[in-house]
Amino acid sequence: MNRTVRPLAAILALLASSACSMPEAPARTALVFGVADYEGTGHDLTYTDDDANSVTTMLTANGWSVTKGLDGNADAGDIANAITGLAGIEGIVLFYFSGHGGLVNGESAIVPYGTIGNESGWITASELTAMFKAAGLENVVIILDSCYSGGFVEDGATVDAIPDVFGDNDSGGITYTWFVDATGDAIRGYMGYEGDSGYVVISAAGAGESSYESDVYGHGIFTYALLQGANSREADLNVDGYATTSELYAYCAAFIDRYWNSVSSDDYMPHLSGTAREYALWAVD
Amino acid sequence: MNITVLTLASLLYIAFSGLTVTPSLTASAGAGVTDQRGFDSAVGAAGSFDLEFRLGDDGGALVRYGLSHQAATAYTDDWYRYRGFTGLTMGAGYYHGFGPIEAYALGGGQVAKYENSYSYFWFPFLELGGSVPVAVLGDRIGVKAGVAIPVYFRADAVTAGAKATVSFTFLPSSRSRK
Repeated sequence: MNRTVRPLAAILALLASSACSMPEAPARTALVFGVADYEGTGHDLTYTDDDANSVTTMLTANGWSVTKGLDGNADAGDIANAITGLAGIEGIVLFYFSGHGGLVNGESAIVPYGTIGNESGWITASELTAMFKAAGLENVVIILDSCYSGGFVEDGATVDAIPDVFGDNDSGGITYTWFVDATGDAIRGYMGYEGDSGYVVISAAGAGESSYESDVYGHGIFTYALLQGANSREADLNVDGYATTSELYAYCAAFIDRYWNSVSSDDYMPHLSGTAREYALWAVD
Repeated sequence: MNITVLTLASLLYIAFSGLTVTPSLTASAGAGVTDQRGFDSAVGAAGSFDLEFRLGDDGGALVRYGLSHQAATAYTDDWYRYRGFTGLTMGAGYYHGFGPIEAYALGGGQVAKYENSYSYFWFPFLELGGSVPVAVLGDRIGVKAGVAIPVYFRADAVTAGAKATVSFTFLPSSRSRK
């Protein structure tokens, strides 16, 4: 090995070794909310409380410190206070919600307990982001299994090939099938980029569509896919020993497209934020 | 903007410019450091395959089309990393020979897609590099080795890298070894 190549090889080896080492797990704190038993009986859901219970079990098993709120313990105040209470916390914060979602003046929102008939009590995408920002939290992952939850997903500097309403039955297929197709929109996205929250959001459905529960799975379909990916370790798509937010999204999207969209006219697709970063959520044994 | 039209137009210019055209295929491998404001930097591997046309003898315009990959970076202490992506590049620039060294400056754009997603994005880039001839294969293929320093000006992050390059240049008959 000649004199010129030797230092270059050493630099590349150093870079490769630094790329392979994994830091010790940071503090990981999760807030998990599920609302099935809304006020009255006309708007109850079946499995959203089970979703929250199962997600809590899964996260706890994977090293997360979890605070859970179900039904009456998942009202707007509970959610807001839980987020405020995280001020100053280190590490990663994960927020999970399974329940109704809606639109407030065209903006996507989640429906806490006690607000089913009162839109002013719903928590919009901008309000939820503001809560986390007010708490000074930077490393935030938000996972939502609710209708219209795609409105919480910021494209950032990217353009999303999955439309707000997806599916053959809605004339909303994948917008780009080849890089060249996306170029014009991607350039406009670059020119028009004004910043984003930096939070990673994975939504069960698009900003204009519903997400669904399944009697077969005993869960929301998106949450079932998330649990399957986590518990089977199959969400670690590149088999590097860690499941990331991007891998979890890809697993859930493929699962829904294969096992639900192929047999149901109520087709829909999850969405993922366009932020430049992704988080490792847990180590895969 | 119709990128297909732009690509075809550049190829037509190359073909009918009347200048000496030297095509080459280049493979590169290296690493890039990505930084996003307010977050830690991290390093990831990078590589590309490019088709390049150099116009003129010992100096002139160059046009490049390529396939590029930036691997996901290493993890930071907060267990985040910058996402890997693959993209198509197109650029133009200028090259000039300084004795055995051929240096160039290149600018262009890349349309890319993040791994494990349906998210596409575009960014402009600049690249400086240079190479030296190291071998001739047969009479018509020149082999060059070099380095390249690309900088990606992404909307929400900056990636700067260093790559080692190997180029296989198809030498015009007037320059092939007798």
